[in-house]
Amino acid sequence: MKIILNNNNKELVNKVMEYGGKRVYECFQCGMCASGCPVASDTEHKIKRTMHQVTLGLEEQIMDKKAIWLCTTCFMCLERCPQNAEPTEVVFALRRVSAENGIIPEAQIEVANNIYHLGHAVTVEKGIKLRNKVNAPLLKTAGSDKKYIDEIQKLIDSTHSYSLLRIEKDWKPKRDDVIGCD
Amino acid sequence: MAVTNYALYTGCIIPLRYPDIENSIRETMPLLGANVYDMVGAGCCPPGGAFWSVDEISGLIQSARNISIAEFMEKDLVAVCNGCFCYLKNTNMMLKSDKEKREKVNTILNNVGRKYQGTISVYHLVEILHDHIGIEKIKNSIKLNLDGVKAAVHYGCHLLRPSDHLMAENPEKPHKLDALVEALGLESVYYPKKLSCCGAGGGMRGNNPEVTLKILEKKLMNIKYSEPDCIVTACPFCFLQFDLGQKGLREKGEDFCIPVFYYNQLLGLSMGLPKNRIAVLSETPRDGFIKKYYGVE
Amino acid sequence: MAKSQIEKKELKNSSKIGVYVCHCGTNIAGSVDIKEIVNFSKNLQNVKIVREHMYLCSEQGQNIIKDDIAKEGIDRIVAACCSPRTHEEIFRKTLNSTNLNKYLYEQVNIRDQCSWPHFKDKENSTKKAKQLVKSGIYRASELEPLEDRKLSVLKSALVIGGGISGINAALDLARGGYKVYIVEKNPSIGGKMAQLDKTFPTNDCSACILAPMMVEVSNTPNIELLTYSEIEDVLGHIGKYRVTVRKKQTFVDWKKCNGCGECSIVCPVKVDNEFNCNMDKRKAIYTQFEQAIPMRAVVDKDKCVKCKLCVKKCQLGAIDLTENEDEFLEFEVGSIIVTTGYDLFDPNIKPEYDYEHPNVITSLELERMMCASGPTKGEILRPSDGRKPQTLSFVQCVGSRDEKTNDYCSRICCTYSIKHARLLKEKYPDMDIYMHYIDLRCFGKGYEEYYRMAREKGIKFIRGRISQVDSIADRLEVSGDDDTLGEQISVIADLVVLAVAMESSKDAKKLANILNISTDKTGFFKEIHPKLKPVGTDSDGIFIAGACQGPKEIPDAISQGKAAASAAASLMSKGEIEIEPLFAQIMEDYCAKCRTCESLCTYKAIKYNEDNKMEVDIALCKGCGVCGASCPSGAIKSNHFTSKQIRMQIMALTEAII
Repeated sequence: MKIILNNNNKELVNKVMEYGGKRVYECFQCGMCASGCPVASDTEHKIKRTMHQVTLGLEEQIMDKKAIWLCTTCFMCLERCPQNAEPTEVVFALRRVSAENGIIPEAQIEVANNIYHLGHAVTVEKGIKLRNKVNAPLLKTAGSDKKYIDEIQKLIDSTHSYSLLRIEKDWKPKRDDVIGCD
Repeated sequence: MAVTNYALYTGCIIPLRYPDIENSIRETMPLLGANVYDMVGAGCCPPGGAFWSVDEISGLIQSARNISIAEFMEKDLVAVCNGCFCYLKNTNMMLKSDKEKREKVNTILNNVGRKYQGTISVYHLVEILHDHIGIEKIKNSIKLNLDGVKAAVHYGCHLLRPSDHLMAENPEKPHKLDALVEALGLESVYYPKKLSCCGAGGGMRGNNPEVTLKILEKKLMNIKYSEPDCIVTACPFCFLQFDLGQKGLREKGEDFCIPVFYYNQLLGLSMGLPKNRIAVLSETPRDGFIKKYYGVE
Repeated sequence: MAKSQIEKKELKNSSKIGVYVCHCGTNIAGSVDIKEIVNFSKNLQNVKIVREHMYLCSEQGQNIIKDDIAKEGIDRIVAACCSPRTHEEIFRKTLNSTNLNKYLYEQVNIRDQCSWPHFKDKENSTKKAKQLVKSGIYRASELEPLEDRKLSVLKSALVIGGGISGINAALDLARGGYKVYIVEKNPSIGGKMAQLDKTFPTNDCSACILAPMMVEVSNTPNIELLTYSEIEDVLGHIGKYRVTVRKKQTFVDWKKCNGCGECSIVCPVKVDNEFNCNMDKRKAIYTQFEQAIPMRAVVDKDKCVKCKLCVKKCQLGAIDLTENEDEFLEFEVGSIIVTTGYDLFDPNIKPEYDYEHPNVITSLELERMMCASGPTKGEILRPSDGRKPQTLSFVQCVGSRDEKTNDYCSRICCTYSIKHARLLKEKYPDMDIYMHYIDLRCFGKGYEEYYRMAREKGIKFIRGRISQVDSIADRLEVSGDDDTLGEQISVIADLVVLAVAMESSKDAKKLANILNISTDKTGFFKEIHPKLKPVGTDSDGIFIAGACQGPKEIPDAISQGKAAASAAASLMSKGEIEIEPLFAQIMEDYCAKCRTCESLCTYKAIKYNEDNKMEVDIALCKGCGVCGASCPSGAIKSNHFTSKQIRMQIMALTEAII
């Protein structure tokens, strides 16, 4: 499909820069980022294209496929980018823009709610069973006591992430699987 | 023996999914002169996929809260997970240098009676083992040498990158974990794309289970190139990816069954620590490996 | 006796030949069997020694030759190695350091002739090398000692073209004490650079850095500035050229004119102003631009209506509209530097870019618009309606990297377009600027950083050549492709800027004929060697510099101007030079004065003189041999290429290799 470059969102690039992708303009499309990307060949996440789309303001095309959520944040592109354009930071910034528009993967909402309610990204109940099995000492982390969880909740309450990550007041963990941790 | 004390930041996966790894750390480190102390009330780091991906400040405050616990203990923080290390160290670097962000964070932390001061350093367990304790001490501490056993060392992304902030290793030619593995007598074998991602991070494992396995499969194909006897890592999320991921691939009919160890598990076994506390939990079987090379059931 | 036996006997003489075969690493040895050449050469007539060496041109290699001359009595040297163009001088100097005459040396190029072209066929490559080496050995046995000739050189130079390159060449020579003539076809010196507003990569004002140099030219006593003038003819040779210059009639006495400009004000005739790319008007009597050197008026002969308003207005009485013949000036110089610059590609040749549309302009037109003294006083306005454009598209490589027009890269367009985009973005931050490129070739010192800053300013760089420009209502649709997106794109632009190629000057061919120098297939003047002799031409005393040699930016044009000045100065500094004695000699006794040679000589080197004899001008003679070959009585001997020497070579080449 032919793209008319005038019909773009000129504010996108400014927003991305404000949200952490400060050096997106440095990109000169060499392809170093995409060539070392672990997900490029299996997903729609094409980081070189995304960098270009940001400077052109093609917000719809970026958000359309939700590909920015397929980045493993391995930082290989950021490490090797010859212009220090920090592509991974641009991905983070785009995710922040995306979250503002209400587009965020369910799994991340799950992780966030786990952290909000349990103090940890994974369920604690199963953890304690496993600890007993291997004779691990008594759990002393946030998940061990309601007072620490209250503390974390208070912190999250005072940030945008409370609404952006759709924190629910009544939350039951959906699964014992590890969804994400880094 | 000179003794150093550290605040042990365990994160989420180690204490709640692989507590045997936690045991292996708690039991091996004091034998090397490094005492580790619980960070009481420490929460999730938090992860890049969720909080950092929607709002930088909410990532910063949760990390800062964790660092403030170690500051209160007046001990340097040792992270035992790459993701925790990356985000905690990043936060520590950022808040030490950026006054504006520090003040913003502290205003919020003040509501829960905590304060980020910037008084401690954040380390990865590999740095403690390699830089603070040293290879010689480790060599001297082991009872059994695994000479001739081949290990595929996996560093994991967030131990290496972004190197500007983490400064733990040469990001393109890391050597510390290899040296640690070789200190136990194993041969750290070459395999292609050694520094590439296992496919778990950034929310990928949760967001897209299909893709996460595809990336892992590529990683494993590269690892298989050198026909190693085991995979060694120092990140519990990578460990989990290799452990559960290989199981997932096996369920799809693929033949992947390479034993996976967190470094301190191997270290503990080499020191003669009991297997049933330090290397029990895994979905990809490794009892055969342990029996063959350590002679314990 | 059979004929071949006679020749065999003829071949045997008293010469003692040393043959040296060079491996040149694997350059030669990779596809020529050196051992076989060595063994083969040993058995040839008059050969005393054959040796091989890894790098014969090395000091060690040269010392071996010296030793053989001293200890073995070798009196002819044959080197089977690389090109005499680059290496003959080294060997000749080595011979010179012994008691052997340097012309008793023969070089056989088994690299360019054998190993390189036939690198896949070692067997035949070796066979060919053997044949060539044999021919070199046969010729060497007939070589004769020769002495270099000395030629006096005038300490004055002609610089053709008063652009930035010529100005620098002229100033350097003048500062060194040489008399310099600058001939410039326009009323003022300054060239294309005078039309520029800013220069990359520093964005300094073009006039600010050019004007002081122009003023220095006019203030330097030993520079004679001949503007509004053209080269009519050049005769003579290195060291002494006789130059004829046509001074076009200005109708203004420049000795009286003070450049006040009153004449232009009263002149009623409006003419397209070439200096501003025809975007505004000048008068029929005009000075070329505000900082012109010399600041003198000229009358446009074709446009003047002879109303004489200017004549009446001029208080100095400098104007006389009577038409006269152009004036011709003659003078002599020792060397010539050609710096005639370039022309721009005519975008009408690419109708797909719709240059006929008023809002499709060239980069130079944009440059003039950006200049405070330009047609819009520095404002960027759409020519169609004078409104400020919101969206701009730069179309790169118009007339470059295109087999249909010019297949070469013009080198400067990427960086000048980046300059334009940056300057515009600085002045109008909300302007949307797109640059459509194939490759961005920002190769010079500081250029990559210059490009980086353009990106930081938010200029959008899109890889993909533009297919066409269409007019849609009052705007232009620029249709292209975005390589990264993998999609067709288009930009609806208010102004389209075509980065037109640099082309050889339209007058280059004519001047090349006058000077007897070559042009390459693109029409630019041809340097004698792209690396070793970048400013030399195949006429020894004539040098080229700046964009007349090929597309280049200001720093390179200046560097070449200075390089040419240095080359000319080193030629002229001693007042004389040595030249190779490779010229024709008339053997008086055999000459029948038929003058066949005179009519055939391309270099006009043979003349029938006042003493009724044929005479060779050794400075003009290139030793090409046409005269010798055509002489019916065999009265002309070409030094170093005698009939006997050549016959020997032919014999060697026509004999089968055993």
